[in-house]
Amino acid sequence: MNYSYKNVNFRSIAAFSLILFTALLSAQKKQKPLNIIFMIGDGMGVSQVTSAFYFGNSEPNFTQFKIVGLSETSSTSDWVTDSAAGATALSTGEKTYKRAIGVSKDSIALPTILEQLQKKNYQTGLVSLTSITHATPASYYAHVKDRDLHEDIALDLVKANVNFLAGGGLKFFNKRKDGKNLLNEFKKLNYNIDTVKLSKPIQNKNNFYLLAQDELPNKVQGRGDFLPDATQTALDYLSKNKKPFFLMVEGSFIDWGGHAKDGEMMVKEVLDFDKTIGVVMKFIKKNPNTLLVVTADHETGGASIGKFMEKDSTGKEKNIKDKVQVNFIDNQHTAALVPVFAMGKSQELFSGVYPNNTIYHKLVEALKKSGITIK
Amino acid sequence: MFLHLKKITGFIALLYVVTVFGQTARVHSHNDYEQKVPFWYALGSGANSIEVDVFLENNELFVAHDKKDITKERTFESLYLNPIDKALEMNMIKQESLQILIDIKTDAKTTLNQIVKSIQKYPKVTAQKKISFVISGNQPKPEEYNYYPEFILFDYQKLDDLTADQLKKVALLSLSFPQYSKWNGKGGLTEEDLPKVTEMIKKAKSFGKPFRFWAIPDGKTSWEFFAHHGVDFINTDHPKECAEYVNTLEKRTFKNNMFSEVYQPKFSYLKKNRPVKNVILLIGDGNGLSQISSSVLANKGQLTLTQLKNIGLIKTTAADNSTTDSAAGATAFATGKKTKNRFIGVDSEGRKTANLTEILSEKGFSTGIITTDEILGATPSAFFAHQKDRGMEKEIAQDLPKSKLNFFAAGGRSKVSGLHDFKLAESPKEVAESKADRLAYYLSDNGVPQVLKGRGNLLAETVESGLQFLKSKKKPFFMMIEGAQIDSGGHSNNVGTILTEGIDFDRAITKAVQFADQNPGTLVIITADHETGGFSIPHGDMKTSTIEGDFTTDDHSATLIPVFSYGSGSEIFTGVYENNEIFHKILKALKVN
Repeated sequence: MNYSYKNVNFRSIAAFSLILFTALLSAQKKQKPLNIIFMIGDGMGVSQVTSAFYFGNSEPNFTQFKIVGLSETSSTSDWVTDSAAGATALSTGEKTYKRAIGVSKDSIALPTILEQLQKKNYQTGLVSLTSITHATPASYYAHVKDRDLHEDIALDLVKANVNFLAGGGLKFFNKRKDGKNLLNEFKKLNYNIDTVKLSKPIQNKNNFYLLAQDELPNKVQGRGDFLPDATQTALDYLSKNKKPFFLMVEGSFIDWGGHAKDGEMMVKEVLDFDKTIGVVMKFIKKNPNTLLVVTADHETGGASIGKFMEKDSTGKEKNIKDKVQVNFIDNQHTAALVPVFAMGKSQELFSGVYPNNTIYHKLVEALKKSGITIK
Repeated sequence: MFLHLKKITGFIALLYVVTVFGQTARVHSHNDYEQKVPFWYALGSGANSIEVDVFLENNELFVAHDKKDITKERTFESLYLNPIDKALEMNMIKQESLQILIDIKTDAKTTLNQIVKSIQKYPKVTAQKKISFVISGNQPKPEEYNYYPEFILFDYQKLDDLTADQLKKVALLSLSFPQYSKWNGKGGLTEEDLPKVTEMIKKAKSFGKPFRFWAIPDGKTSWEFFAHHGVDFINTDHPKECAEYVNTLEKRTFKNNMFSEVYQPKFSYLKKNRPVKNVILLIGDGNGLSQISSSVLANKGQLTLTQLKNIGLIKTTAADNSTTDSAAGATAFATGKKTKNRFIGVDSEGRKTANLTEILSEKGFSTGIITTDEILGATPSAFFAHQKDRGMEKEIAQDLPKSKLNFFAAGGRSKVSGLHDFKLAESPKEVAESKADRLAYYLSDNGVPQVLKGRGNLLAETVESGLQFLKSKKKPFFMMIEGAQIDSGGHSNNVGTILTEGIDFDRAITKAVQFADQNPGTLVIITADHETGGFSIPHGDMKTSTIEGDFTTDDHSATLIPVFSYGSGSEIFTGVYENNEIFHKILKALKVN
């Protein structure tokens, strides 16, 4: 009796210490702000993801995700969204009208996750294959009524103090209608600018890679490994400074493959995006205080992966059993739910089916768990 | 026995046989003479209006876009009147009506007089009513419309009033679209343009004549917009594609009236995770992510299904084909082995392979099947039969009495015999109350009707009572439930079937999830064998639950398929994996080897 009493007592002390220890540990963990890597496959519906499983040479990195969600992508003005309203929902947490960049449905500027995290001492980065002023990256730093206002968006970028920028769109900075050369402004603001290649970033400066007049070439045109390389460079640069970071990476041309109804382009862009996911996954394994979310703004092309049909010598169509082909219904966006994949700290928040703007709020929740509170 | 089915048939049929958008828009082959094969291509495509630009030179009518393009072979007679005469002679004009829109490029009166003369050379043409000649471009004043013979009508391009007599000679009212909007055909019209354009259409239609906009953007989004906004003739350079699109638009567009009441699951299993006792596997045949998306959007943005949190994606490839059929797909779920298309419950070498109902009944489980297909359909068969071809219905039927099933509910009574061990239930109520050891409930003698043809709520009711029946055995159980006819909608490219069967399936899912909430230790898995139709949702309106779908095929596709799971053990079904893993995960959740 006595012994057992002591035993119980000992156990409860042990349990209590364990609780205390865990609490301390989690409190400590909480104080370490979360790194976020947010990847947008523009136009990447479930069929686009599927193509990586049939056309790649190895198992896609998509198979490594344990958490899958589904996002409903409608805009306030139209059931079928565009990249502007889609990206604004993801960057600000509010659904808005088509063509809107970082503004609400009443055209009022909304704080983006990137801007809010800058105030919390975060470093930030944007990597895209289009002009850096294009709808998806722009929705993280600009606030304009219409996505086509590239020169205004470029002006917003001057003020944005984003630490790492890689993409195209040089002409919107140095061949402007207002005659300004914004590159000079960036230089004054301690930016290292490279318009030739993805050179080694300068650690105590912001780095801006503007590698095409407009968009970069697509994979079929021979872009090479820009996307995985730029992502790796961004991660190296951002993780060297002892500050948390937010990095958005866009696989822009999956969408363009759909718009062009070009199956080869779509597939190669998805595979390139999957390779880039691999780069990020490696980073997460070494840096567990990081959350990776991969999603799309909408689906493009009504793509499906169908039976491969070939005409034989008599002109009769025959199914080649071990092959598939990409089919499109049209060159436009569709309203299908798009997949969300998550890996790393707080990944579990991203399971389920939800409206696209909820993804922003889930990021806010994940940040809160790590001690960072934003709106 | 089928009384309750028949009763609701009339009601449901009334409910759904509602035309969504009135008359189908017709196709206008713009500058038809520029097609590789003028006239015949448009005729074969099913266009109802054909445009031809005509020049009068040396008393001869030439067909060309510009004066400089005129060649002596390309005359109005050689390219149009002769072929029309031939087509009439051979009875090849299947269109109910066909208008030849003649855009006069030279002097109105002299050219028109020559046109009248030329047409009058063809008595067969002037004697019939099917084909009309409608004068556009340079034309006489409305006051002179009545000077011309009956077979000559006019394309009126203003919104000024006409007298009743003048109006009688007007076949068509046309306006220039770029005057009202600069829309490029992508996305939608701007907020400023939309009211302008719809107002103009309304005004034009007030004349009571068919209406056409010329110079509209030429693509599906544009065709859909104008067809749904009352434009009667769609102006296009692609008559074949446009005709296919607008002629199927109604079949592909569905205004939904049937809803699944969304149930909010309790998620109490998250707090207290009990060992898994019962497994309910729901298979929506052909229910890919686009199908689910369309049901979500048509059901006011939510389904019971979309309340669930655990989601996975499966790759459905069969052993011998990248694109699976239902036989190989269901066999992968039922036996854990990928097999060849058409194979039922046998591996890719044709060897009999133990399925879930056999394995689990060995372990003391009750087992059951519910489907809206016939019991000998590929999906249910894979859970009780072992045959090398899904078409071997006689052999599959013989496997049924030998199976371990305690319960099944399905169609196809006429094809089954020798079920001496099974009691027959006549209604879902009898199923719920039955004390039989083995029970069958036939939903129909042959195929089970679609929801659109009056099935009513039979699937959900049968699921509810079937689960009660298995529960009353006081043993753990495995139940496979198939929403079989979402697939049919994909094969027939019928959006209404996809939506109503998908929403009906959600009602069945609701019953399963409610059962799991009331009976802790129940695992619910919802997935599909494959996607059917290469289905997508290009347009729609959530406010009116109207969806336009489009298809790339009438066959299956290889697209990854979502898996939703709920209840004890459901967390192991997240992630991205192969379809046959579902089998292994079920056994893992049950801790059965």
